[in-house]
Amino acid sequence: MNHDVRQQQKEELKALGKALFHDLKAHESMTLTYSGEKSLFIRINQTKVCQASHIDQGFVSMDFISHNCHTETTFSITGQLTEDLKRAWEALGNCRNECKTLPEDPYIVLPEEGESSDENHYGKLAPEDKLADILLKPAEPCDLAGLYAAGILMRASMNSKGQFHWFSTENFYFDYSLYTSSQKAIKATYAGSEWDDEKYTASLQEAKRRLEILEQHPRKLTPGKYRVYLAPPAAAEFLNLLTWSGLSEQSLRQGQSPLKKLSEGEMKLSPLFSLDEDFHLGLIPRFNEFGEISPLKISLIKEGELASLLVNKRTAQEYSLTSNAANISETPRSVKVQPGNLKESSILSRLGTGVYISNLHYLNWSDLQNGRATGMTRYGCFWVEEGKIVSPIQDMRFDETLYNVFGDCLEDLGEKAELIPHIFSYGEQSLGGTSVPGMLLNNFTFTL
Amino acid sequence: MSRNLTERLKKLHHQADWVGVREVKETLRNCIARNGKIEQNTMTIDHGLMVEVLVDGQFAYCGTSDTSTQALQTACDRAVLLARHMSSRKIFPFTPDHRPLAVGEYHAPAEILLNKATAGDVAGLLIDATQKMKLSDKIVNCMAHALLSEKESTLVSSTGSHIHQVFSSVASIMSATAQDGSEIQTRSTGVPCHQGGLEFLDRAVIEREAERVGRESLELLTAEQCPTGVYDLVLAPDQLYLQVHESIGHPLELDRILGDERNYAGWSFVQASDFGKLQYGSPLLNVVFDPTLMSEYASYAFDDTGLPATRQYLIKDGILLRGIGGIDSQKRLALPGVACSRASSWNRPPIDRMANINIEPGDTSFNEMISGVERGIYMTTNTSWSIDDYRNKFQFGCEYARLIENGKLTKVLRNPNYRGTTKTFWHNLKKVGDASTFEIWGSPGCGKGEPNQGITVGHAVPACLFGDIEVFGGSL
Repeated sequence: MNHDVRQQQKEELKALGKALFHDLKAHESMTLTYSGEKSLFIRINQTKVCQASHIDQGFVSMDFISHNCHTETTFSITGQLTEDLKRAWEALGNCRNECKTLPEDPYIVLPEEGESSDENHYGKLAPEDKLADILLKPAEPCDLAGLYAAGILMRASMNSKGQFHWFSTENFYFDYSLYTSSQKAIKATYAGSEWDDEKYTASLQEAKRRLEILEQHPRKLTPGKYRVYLAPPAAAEFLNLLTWSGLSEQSLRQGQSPLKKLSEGEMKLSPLFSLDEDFHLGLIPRFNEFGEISPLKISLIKEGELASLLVNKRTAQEYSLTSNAANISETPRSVKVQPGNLKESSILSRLGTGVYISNLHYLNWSDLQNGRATGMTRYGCFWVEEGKIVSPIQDMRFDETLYNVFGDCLEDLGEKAELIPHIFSYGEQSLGGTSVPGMLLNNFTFTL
Repeated sequence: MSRNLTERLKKLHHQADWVGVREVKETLRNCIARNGKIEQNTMTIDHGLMVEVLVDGQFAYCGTSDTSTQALQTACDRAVLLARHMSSRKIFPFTPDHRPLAVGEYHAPAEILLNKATAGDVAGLLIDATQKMKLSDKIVNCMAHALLSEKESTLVSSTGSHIHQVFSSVASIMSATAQDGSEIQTRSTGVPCHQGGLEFLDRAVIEREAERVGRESLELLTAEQCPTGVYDLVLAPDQLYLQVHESIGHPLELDRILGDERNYAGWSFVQASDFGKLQYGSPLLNVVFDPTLMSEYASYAFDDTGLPATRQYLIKDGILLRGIGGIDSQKRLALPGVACSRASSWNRPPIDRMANINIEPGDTSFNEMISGVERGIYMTTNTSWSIDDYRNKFQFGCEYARLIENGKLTKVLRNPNYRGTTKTFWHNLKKVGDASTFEIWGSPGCGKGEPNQGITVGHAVPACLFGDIEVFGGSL
């Protein structure tokens, strides 16, 4: 069934592209990208169903070039070729009209011939008719809030030079949190492609076990410097901020990179810290909006030094560089941080006296040029004394530079990385994830 | 858009207790120029339907970008089935009374229709603006960006509701980045955003603002670092609007108070029992939910459940009166709210959202406000924001500041930041600017909800003075 849905969508896109490409004039070229999903979302609060929705959507972006003018029209599609061709012809007409009025684009990226690809991942999702019980019964009597999202996500890219890339995957995540009566919480995510009741129950049991510690009275910390352990989800939050613009060549050139001092050799990160774009994780397509296939692995930061930045074709045109097949925003799509030597069993003893931070929240740059960020602790964060958890803490605000977090203050990284799936769903479900170990830091600054 | 959505709904076969269909079509132009050249020109045409059904007390939804009759029936069937599957574990027993009948229209005023400008016209304006910004070789990057939206929404229901709303809006930002050696500073216009037409892309205003941000980016290169300490703080409307958004708007959302957002956006320090009692801030603080203010970014006549939108006090004389919650949250909490169940598009169910959340003007002119400060900082234009999940401990950064010494604005300061806690901050409100300082701001993309939704919000505020605020500058 799912195979048919994907095959049908793929064939429809090919037919759409064939008709459009056939109509192009000699001075015109086109790249079409597609993003579609058939998703089920179940929103839960107080271990009850709050909202439930099916979403069936598809969007085609038509990147159109006429002479040296360039524009793009994105339109929603129905999956029915006749109607979608009608929408596509309207979009093409719009593109042609716009190009007549637009100035030339000096950094235009023309579509090229190249290899095609076809990648499909199949899964086994929990049955919808039993889903409410499957999700909620094992959680009782706990107070649970969260979002279950499941479905088929599809991406494609094709151009008038004959290239065609297709990626589809079927997966789910249940991103949830459990609450004590005093509203302290533990956060967890169970994700995968095949639902397994036992694995879900194990995830819940671990969260419930940690929840018990939160029942104790929380300790109020005073602002100052602390030894901290950032668990993988907390480390991933910091990395997400760092990689938002930090590894982009265009951001650096335009004065918007927090890694400027690193790129100029003025500051260094810890030799323990290495970060790669690594598509071996298999979570996200390797093709980008220009139809390029990314290398399987790009070393971005190696042992504390900037190894390379992400460069897309447009940036490469503007600054006479070579593209490394980065996406349009030059953000890494599949981040992997190299693990260290910190054993799971010795996290608390190595932390000694300090704060175990499970999650961070609402990070933002407080001084971009100096790589300084602020944010909050969230969910299960604990005060640890002499290697033993003593109590939860009241949430604290930090203000700290990435040169300390990934540099001077970094004592060690966990020996095992955890895969933190990307679960954003603004407009559409996101793909990919971050593979990151926990991080042991000293002198981490809390301010409020 | 469908010619007769009500007739299409009537032809649906279903066994639901209530059915609603919301059709949305948005055409969004996004144009960016950089350093005298076009960077990007895109148009997005997003069109789809969302079916909402009520079965056994459970609402469920099915959205589809296929607007055909067959797809509408399929969406209705899937929503009914989903509601049936979930109803045994529903959070609240809703009834058809929770979707009251409503009929009406809304057309956002636009003096000059957006389709009067070609893509080239908009691009040309923005390209020229980036050239106006470049006042010196030290300005290394100039960017101008415009976002033009035309959106049409029709909501019909099996009980006879029919609401048709048409929105036209314009948002823009211009920024100049200046560099001298290792010092880099960016100055921008913020993001002016309004309902309306091309009158909000007026060439004379754009060019004047472009020159200003260019000039002020150069000023920042040689400015002193913002000092660290406790100061009186005057916030310009282009910063204060976000302070209102984060520390008044979000904590007053009833779905946060209910805990619906606990797993993502967060909770609130406000409790249901606080309404009518809590002294939220100084008696000078008056906050309204006002979807009726002409040209504000999130004005409308009905929310996406069909509730008629009216102006309501949320905070009066500093006392918390009413929360920001639509009909579903109002029923679940047994509290009054406002018409604010809004969806980002056809592909998301409505949830409690801010619309226009405004501070009413006071009686102090800007000059009077400054002249009354012996030692303070005046901060303008937000650049950084962060607040905890209970909406209590916050930190904001601005682009540009001036020192206030003995009642006068003096030196320009760079990297200004401040931090505090919500109730203490609003209790420290000492002066509220008069109508001459009142400005309309907002945001094109407030994020919230599971699945996530980014939505327009409006905030109109005067300049305000706060006492005893912890401020600081940038550093490694």
